[in-house]
Amino acid sequence: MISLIFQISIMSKLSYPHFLPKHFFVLIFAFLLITSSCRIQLIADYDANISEQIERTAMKVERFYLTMLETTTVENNGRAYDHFTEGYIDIEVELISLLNRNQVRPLNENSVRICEITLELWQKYKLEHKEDNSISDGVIGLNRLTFSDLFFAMQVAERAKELID
Amino acid sequence: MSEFNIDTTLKEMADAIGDTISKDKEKIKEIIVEILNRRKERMKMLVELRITGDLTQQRFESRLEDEKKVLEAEFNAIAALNKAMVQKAVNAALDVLTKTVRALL
Repeated sequence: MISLIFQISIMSKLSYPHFLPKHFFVLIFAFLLITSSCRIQLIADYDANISEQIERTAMKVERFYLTMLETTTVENNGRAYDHFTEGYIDIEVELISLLNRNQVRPLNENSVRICEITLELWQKYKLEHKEDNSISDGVIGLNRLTFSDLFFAMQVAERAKELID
Repeated sequence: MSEFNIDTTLKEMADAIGDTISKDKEKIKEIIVEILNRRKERMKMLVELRITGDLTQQRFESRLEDEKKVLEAEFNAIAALNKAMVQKAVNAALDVLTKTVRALL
């Protein structure tokens, strides 16, 4: 009934001489649009708490590697894995938390994949440190750069909607 | 009393999409350039570490494999930006349609 009234109302205002059935369906669609405030959503809404957690975790990683670089040397087992176990665990917990928080959000597969890659590489470099029981200044620098770039990607994905708006 | 002209409405919707995309593509370009510059630094350091011997050949090759994953992460960030841009553009077009139809009622 509503559709019929709507059709009559619209038909009287059309500039087309021949009102075809397909036009009617277009108009019904339009009517539904305005009554249901239709908008599409392709990506999860920006979450300030997750953005803050990404920033915090990125800073923890920076502090972890900078402390390693500035306060220890490879001599005398100064960079033995055991000295850094707690730091590795602390950051891994943060990365798992970030992954879990992203996984429960709909339309968020890009952020989830970035978190998975970051966690995978964190665990891999931790294992390499454990196997070698040492780590050079150069590798610390490379790891810092790699994780800084991954956190940048994570932050871009999280803030995508905000950056565009 | 306003009249409904589907051609005009479609043109306005297309214009809304075009305007939105042309504004946003510059922002996306800046971010892609930033990502590429970061990648350049990383690759440079990777080669230097192989030359200095900080990385064995095996570890160097392993790190090159890791680079593919980092690249995948970076493409995911760009994909998220593109989705945000498309979402904004389509919603701008839907707003045009909504306003047009609302004016008719």
